[in-house]
Amino acid sequence: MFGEATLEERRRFYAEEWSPAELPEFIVKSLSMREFGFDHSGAGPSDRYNRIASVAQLQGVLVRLAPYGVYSSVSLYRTPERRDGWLGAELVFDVDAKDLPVRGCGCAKGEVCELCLEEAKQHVLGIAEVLREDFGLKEMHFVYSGRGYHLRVTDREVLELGSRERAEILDYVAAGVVPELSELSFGYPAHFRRRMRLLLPRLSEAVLREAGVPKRAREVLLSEGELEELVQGLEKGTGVLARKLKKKGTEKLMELVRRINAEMVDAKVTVDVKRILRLPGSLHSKVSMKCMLVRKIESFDPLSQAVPKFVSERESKGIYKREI
Amino acid sequence: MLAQVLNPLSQRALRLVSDAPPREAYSAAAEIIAGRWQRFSIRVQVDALHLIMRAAGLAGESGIRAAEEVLRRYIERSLQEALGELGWGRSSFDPELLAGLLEGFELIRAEDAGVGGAELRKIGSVTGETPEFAVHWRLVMPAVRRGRMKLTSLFLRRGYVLLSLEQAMSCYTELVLERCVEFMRDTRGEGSDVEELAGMLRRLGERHVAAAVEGKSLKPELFPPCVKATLAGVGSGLRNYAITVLLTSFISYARIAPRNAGRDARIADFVDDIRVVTQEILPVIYQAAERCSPPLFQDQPAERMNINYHLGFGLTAEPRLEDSGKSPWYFVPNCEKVRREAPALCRMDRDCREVKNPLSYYFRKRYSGGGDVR
Repeated sequence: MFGEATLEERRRFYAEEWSPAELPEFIVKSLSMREFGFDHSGAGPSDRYNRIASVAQLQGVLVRLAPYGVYSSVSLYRTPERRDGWLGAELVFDVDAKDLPVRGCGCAKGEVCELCLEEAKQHVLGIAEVLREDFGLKEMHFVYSGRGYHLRVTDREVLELGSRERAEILDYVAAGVVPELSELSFGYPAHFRRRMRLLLPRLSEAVLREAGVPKRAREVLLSEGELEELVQGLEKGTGVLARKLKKKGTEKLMELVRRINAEMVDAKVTVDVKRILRLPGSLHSKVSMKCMLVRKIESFDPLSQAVPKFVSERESKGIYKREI
Repeated sequence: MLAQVLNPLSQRALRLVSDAPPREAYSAAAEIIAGRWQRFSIRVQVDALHLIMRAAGLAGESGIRAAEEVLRRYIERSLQEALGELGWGRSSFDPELLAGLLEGFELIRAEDAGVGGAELRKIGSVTGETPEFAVHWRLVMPAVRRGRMKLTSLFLRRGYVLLSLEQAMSCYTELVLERCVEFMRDTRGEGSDVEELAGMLRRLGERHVAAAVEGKSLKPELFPPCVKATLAGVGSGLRNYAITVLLTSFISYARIAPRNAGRDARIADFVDDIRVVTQEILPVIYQAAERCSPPLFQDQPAERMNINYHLGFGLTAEPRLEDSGKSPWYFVPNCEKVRREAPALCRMDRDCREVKNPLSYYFRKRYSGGGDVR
């Protein structure tokens, strides 16, 4: 988003801007049980199987090597340098703004703007609400990843879950399955309807047509007044859909919503219990933004709070312009 | 009280297990495996269940699968008896009585999970059963892990899942069975006194495998040697290739595709019911995966999703017909490739010389035998 960071900028970032306080507490307390990966050239984190014993050692590595990317595992191991003795893994949801399947801003896939980032943030907040309200989970950490958000859950109950259960939880929180029972005011059916209410105003004629939604149903969905009624009616149940869109229209729309929901979160990240994720506090060198723990997510603005100092200096010198 | 036999690994049951089980326990174990229900004392039943678990460990993976089914039937039957003893249906719910019965399974009243009576009745009016209980969602996960329940079909509220009596009992059964299977794997190979029982379980396991393959339009006796070797279970270096690449493609194409199917085919082009995949194809693949050493999903649970990916449904835990085509439906690798990638699987017989692909081997044999390949 701000162009690639040079080696010199990376050095300055880790020597002058980075401090141990950038590391979240949930990482610090389990630092020596995590596998660390480093990307030295921009080709990916090929330097893996590293154990970092202390924050001081990490600081030394960062200052000395100024890596292109720094990653740590979501799993804890007895011997992380061999990725052996698996003790558990955080439950992670990755929403990347560049991969959002439907956007209100008009960005093409792969592009990111302020609105995309806001949309990704709202989606992550929605996931957190379901985890809190339905699963009763409490220890949730929001991390701005550089181009989207990671939601990292560290409650004891989730740590030992295997891939299969993680995939099931993902289906639930992402609303990736059409519900069997639609009229309840709580639980999965209500969650699916909430997702639907958010999505409906963003569905274009082209998207609806491609999904096979019949013409009459498309007209309803694209008419402002009727859409408003639909969205309000969905608060109580899906009966309003059957009335307005008929059987085929309802089925096609529910399937479209399910598919979009499933694409909002990167499933591979959630189900992989040996994944490494960008380290909060480190630099996303490709876009020159900080990957960072977000303490007050509602008011978080990545374009002012996750921008390293060297980017502002670049701009003041007129070296680079924002690509956003 | 039957609490001890509802969970043979509960603290109360473990206190009853004999170091040297009486002869009667061996007979009881044989009766239980054979599916005959006789009245034995609680102590003998607990000993018998432990003998079955040790025998399963000795019999290997197919024996463990067979023992799991034996135990499931036994626990379900015992639960029904226990509920009868509690006077279910004649008295109102007593959480303490039930908690005493189901060790480690903390049930609360559905109302105590913060859901109003109106909502509970609404669930009941649609599903046919009003949820009476609630348990923490982690207690439901064994049933979810084992494919018996889906979270999206359940009702969660503040960390609790609302359950009907039948669902609660099913969750409990899966919780116990999961621990029993773990126990059987840990005791693998212990005890020469259970050889005979192990033999019974092995034969039962073989019948289950044959039942899963036969009668599903597949003729396993016509499979090529590499596929037969895979179905028998393979070692750790071969597992991923044998199960995910070779067997997944072979069984799916052999079951579904016509002989001349193109290589850009989708499963949805040939079937209109996903159960062909979930109830006919996947069980065969999963059973072969379980017979691997170590069982494939034990250390690589994500491989289930990879199998769905190879079937063309994308990276998903739940294949759906509408997702068919999300990823390629991988075609059966040619013999040359199998030889190169997994030489230990290639045990050529006379008929192998006539073909270049394991699937051709199967189709040729089916045709020459006058079988209808669709």
